[in-house]
Amino acid sequence: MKSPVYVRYSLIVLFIQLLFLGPGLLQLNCQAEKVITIAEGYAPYSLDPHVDTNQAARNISDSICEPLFWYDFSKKELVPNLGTSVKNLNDNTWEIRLRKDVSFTNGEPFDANAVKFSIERIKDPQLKSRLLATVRNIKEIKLIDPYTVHLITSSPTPTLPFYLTRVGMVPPKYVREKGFVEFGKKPIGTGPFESVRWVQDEYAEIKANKDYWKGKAKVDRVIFRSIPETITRMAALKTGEAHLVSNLVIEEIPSIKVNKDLDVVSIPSIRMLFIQFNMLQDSLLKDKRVRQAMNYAVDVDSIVKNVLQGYGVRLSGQLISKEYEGYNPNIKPYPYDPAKARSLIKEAGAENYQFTLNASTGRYLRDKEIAEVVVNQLNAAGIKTKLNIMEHGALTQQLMNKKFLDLLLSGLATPPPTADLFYGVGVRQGPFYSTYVNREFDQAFDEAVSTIEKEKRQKLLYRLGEICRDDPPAIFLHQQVTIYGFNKRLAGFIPSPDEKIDPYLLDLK
Amino acid sequence: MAQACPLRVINADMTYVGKRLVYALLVIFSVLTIVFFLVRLSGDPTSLFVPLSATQAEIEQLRKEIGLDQPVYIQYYRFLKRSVQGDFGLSLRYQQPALDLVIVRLPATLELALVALTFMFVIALPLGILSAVKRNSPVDLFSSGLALFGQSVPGFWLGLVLILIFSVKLPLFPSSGYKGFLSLILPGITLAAFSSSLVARMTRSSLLEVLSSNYITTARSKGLSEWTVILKHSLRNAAIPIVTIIGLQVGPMLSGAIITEQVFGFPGMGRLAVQAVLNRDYPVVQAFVVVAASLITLTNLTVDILYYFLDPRIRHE
Repeated sequence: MKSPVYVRYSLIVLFIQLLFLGPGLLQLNCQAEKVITIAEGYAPYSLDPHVDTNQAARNISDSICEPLFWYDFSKKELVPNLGTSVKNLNDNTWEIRLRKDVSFTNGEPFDANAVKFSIERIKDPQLKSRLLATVRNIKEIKLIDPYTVHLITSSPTPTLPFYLTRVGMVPPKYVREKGFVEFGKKPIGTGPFESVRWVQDEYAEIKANKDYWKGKAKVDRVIFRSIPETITRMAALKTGEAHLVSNLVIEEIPSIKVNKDLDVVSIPSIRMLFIQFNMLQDSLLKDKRVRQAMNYAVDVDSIVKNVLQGYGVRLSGQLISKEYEGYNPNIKPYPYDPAKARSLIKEAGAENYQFTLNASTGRYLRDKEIAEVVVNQLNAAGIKTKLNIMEHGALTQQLMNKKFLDLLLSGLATPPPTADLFYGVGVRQGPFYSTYVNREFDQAFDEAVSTIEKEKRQKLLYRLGEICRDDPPAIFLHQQVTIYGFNKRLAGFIPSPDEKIDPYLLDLK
Repeated sequence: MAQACPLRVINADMTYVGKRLVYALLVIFSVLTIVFFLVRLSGDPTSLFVPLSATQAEIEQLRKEIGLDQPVYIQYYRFLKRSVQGDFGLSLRYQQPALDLVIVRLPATLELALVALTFMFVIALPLGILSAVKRNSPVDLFSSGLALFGQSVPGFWLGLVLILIFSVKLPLFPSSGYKGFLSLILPGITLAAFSSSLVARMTRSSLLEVLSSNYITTARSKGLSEWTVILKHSLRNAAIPIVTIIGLQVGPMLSGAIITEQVFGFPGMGRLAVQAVLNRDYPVVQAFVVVAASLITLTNLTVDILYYFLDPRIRHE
């Protein structure tokens, strides 16, 4: 017997509904389990905390393989984690005491041996770890007892405890068994989450570790999706496919704010933007009056207000922001004073010199627009400057080779945020990115990085900021702001200057 | 009429196929050479794979491991030698064999291309036929307008607009990712847009040409129905250039997949290629280009060979 027409129609309608509502039903099903989806632009190439050190990858790997200590940005101090204390016994020996009640999720014990293995592994050339610089000075690791280790450094390294915030603890036996590529696909640690699956370029799924030593996370699962295109990422937030999306662009903010279920939050990051001078070339930039004039000529407040619509924080006459250890709160920024800039340029005899500002487009928030405004302001103050926009890779190459002409719009972040690392990479003359020439700075830097005594070290770091204020290595611009969009059902999200997202703190209302 | 010796025919066939095969291999060899030198023009990738604070010795060590410390001709010789064995080296980023990384992502891209091809057959072919049959009618105008739109609109823009309409405003499809059939629809349409327009226009013009032939007039004068004339007599002959065009769309489909996969966060080999280019991951770029070139060459070779067997005029030549 043929079924009545309305039954057949109902079946067809049901089928179509199932087809279209399929993903929605799946989501509803998942929500019984408290699942949070986070969308980021970056696609990790490994979940090994010692291999892919991009913060978006670390957000996953740190939740699985915790470090010994965390860094508290507000207090600028270490927070104990797997390590309960750290102290220096002498200039080259650091003693770390460990928690005794922790084991890896595969049952391996977390102890001094695991710490030794985790640190020494970074030095394995095969691993090509980007964390090498953080442990380079450790020449020996002594196991004092199962829960005490001594790190012996080749030279005094006051920032070593900060560096340890970047070193996730891994289980020796499992890593040896699996090899580093396989470990990178399914890592195991002591953290609040365990790896479930990772589909490269698409998503990584982690589930709560029920036996976590601090107690189980509030959510059951977290899915980190990788969506490179900003507008698509934003669409995922609007459709409910993601609860939290990172690195939004300014243009997207209004369309999120009008949605009653969504909101936007932003935080100044540890990425500093500045226009670096190439003092290695034979040019008028060797004259500090020219570099000072450029700082007087650029109205950074106007750039932050008009180009960045407030999503930026002006640098205060030094290259690092208050989140960095070594930030000098007494330094004042250069005031916007085009008349003074004009007179300094005249004094230096640089009125007829044509400078070039090299910049890339799309690498930093509104970088091209910022470069255009800077060039206009320099020209308006009588400092002839032309703009050269380049592809970012080519620009980086020029920076690495220190071959760029005159000026370069640069962005630098050095987690953990210590002045040593930042100045060491970006300012101290040496093998890295620096094109600054100042012997006084170099000497003060060398002294600071090997001074363990806290107060003396702070004075030396403050001095570095003062030297840079007087004899600028760059036009000080601003601190880049990271913008997040989130669903209001999401609770516990605290944005961090280093773009860390801690799934352990998250919950769903 | 005397029939050709079957052996001679087989020989002629083999010569034709053999020639095509040699051409195909030459194309792939040229691609290998071009991609090798092109990626090296983009600069030294070492800086991207060491930490900011790497020492010069560490940078040099990595250059040595990658083989960039060797003269270019030695690098080229090694590259060719390994390539023929299917070894493109380890990805600088993933530390896994570059070819494996591409091959693993190939099925997702092929699936996307298959959906796009389906759209092409389901939408473009009927639209082209209707345009030809109802020439200068509103249907023809609509079809021409759609084709113009499809050919002129950039893929990334179309993709984003489709997401905003069909994911955000009307929540019918997922906005991104690779979660079953529904997630293939929007990227499939985006990918199909350009090629479908071409196929619709080609079907229309090819069919119009055939419809004005004498044998079609004869068929009509025999009293055959119009649809029999179109589907049975005209479309068959009009199909040859259409098949060629469809075969040629493999290239645009692969290049289109690069943009489409990036927009939709689709984990195919196009997206891998974008990341590899941005990170100057030489081995992956090389493996991707060679796989893509091989796919295109293989399709063209198949079309050439099919052509030979389908169209007697080519055999005659």
